[in-house]
Amino acid sequence: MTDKEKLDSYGLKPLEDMKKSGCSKDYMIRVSSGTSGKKPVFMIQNKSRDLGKEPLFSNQFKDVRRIVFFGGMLNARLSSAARFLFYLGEDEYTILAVDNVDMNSSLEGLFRDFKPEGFIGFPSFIARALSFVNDKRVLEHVKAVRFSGEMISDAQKELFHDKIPQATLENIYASAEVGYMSGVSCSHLKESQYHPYERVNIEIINQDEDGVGDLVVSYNLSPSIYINQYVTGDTARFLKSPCVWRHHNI
Amino acid sequence: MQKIIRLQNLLTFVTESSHSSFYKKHFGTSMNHKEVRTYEDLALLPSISKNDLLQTPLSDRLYIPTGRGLVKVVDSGTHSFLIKRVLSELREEQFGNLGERPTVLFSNGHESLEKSLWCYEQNTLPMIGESTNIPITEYFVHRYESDSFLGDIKTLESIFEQSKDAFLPGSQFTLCEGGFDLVRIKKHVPLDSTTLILSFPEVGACAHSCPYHLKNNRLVFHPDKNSIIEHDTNLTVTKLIAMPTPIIRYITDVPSKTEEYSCDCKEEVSFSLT
Repeated sequence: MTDKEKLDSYGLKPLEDMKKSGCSKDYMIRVSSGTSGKKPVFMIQNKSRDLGKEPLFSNQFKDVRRIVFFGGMLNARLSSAARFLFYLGEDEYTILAVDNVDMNSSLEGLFRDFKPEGFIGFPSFIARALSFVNDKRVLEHVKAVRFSGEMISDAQKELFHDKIPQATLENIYASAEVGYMSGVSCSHLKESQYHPYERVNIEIINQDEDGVGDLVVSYNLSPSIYINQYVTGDTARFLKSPCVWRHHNI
Repeated sequence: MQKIIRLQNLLTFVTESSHSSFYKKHFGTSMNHKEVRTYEDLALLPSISKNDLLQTPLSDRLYIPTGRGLVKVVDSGTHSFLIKRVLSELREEQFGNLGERPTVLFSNGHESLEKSLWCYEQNTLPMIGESTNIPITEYFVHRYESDSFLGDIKTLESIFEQSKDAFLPGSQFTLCEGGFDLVRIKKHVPLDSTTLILSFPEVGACAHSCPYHLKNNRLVFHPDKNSIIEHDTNLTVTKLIAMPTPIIRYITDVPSKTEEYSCDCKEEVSFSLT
């Protein structure tokens, strides 16, 4: 199994793979800030597993081209930007990564000019941004919102339904160290239920009698480095039956 | 002569574009752009300012509507406006020389993101820092064994306040800003490992410091290969790359003057910041 310390210990090793491939765009530096009281984690990850079209997005998000990121760390915003600008085929994405300093009354005018079609980020950050938008027509082009990083509160759900009633709301399970761990969003799933991302191998170990256990994930950090059972720190269980689309769930 | 040809192509592009009439309206009948054959002719065209960009929505001054890229928020002091960059022209920017493992850190998150994407376009993997968390940034600079820095003096100072040996010995430092304080810079980095890039969020890079003059503590610059700079009063920039909002005679609030001292750079033009 791999813990945070072991993951961190790979350090600059993936750069050897990067030098062989000659393409820096296949790689991303991933960090976690260590705010949970643990030591920060630094790693270099090959993102080419994300290359090309894949069934990661809902149908609604597939049509989105102008995207606003509401990330925390700049590293996360760069990771998201690289994903859309380098890895997703030939579609022409334009991204706007909103910063804390942009959270003021100017935001409505900026959104009026940008005409966003999709939002990605923390629900609390998105909710805060929407509190500066009084003219809902500014948001009429928003088709889909993708949340990650925290649970959505009832008050936030109410705000989103009020300001962007036309938008599909999706929840994503991801982490700063690993990236995406949930796959295609599915309307048959309830909150906190996900389909696993097909590019990682998810297992649940140390299960109790209800099947709840530690969620570990295995994936290639780079072509020559395989991460075996990284301990995410989350608990989960597999749902007994697949959804109507025959995807298995966690 | 090459710059003049590029300028003429740019003027034709903006006046004949079907995507925006921003410059056509701005130039009006003041001068036929086809009559611009020298830098002196360029100076006869009306200039634009930050206020012109602020008053015109991005959608009305977007000459290149397609292409993958990012939009930045530029703060004008009291209000903000949007600037778009697309990867195909961003990669042409002259943001200095990168090492193998650059750290990118600006006080403004949009600038950090833009310059990080530029690093990728130079086929270099950037480590983007967090200006709101310098201790963690300094830690990651060490972990990455970063050999170069691209940012501004404020964030560089913050990193050095955390640790004097954050960067490897022999690291290169590139500061991209609209003005420089040599006294402040010299406190932290040796000038012979430092390049100053005159750069503005809405314009991009336009000039680089002359290494000869910098060694002698003089803020003398040469326009980069993509820029025409008028420098007899306030710095006025024309960018010759195909930016989504082209920059033609953009007047900054940076005073400058023609530089008389010669140097070994063999550059045609030198100017200094006053």
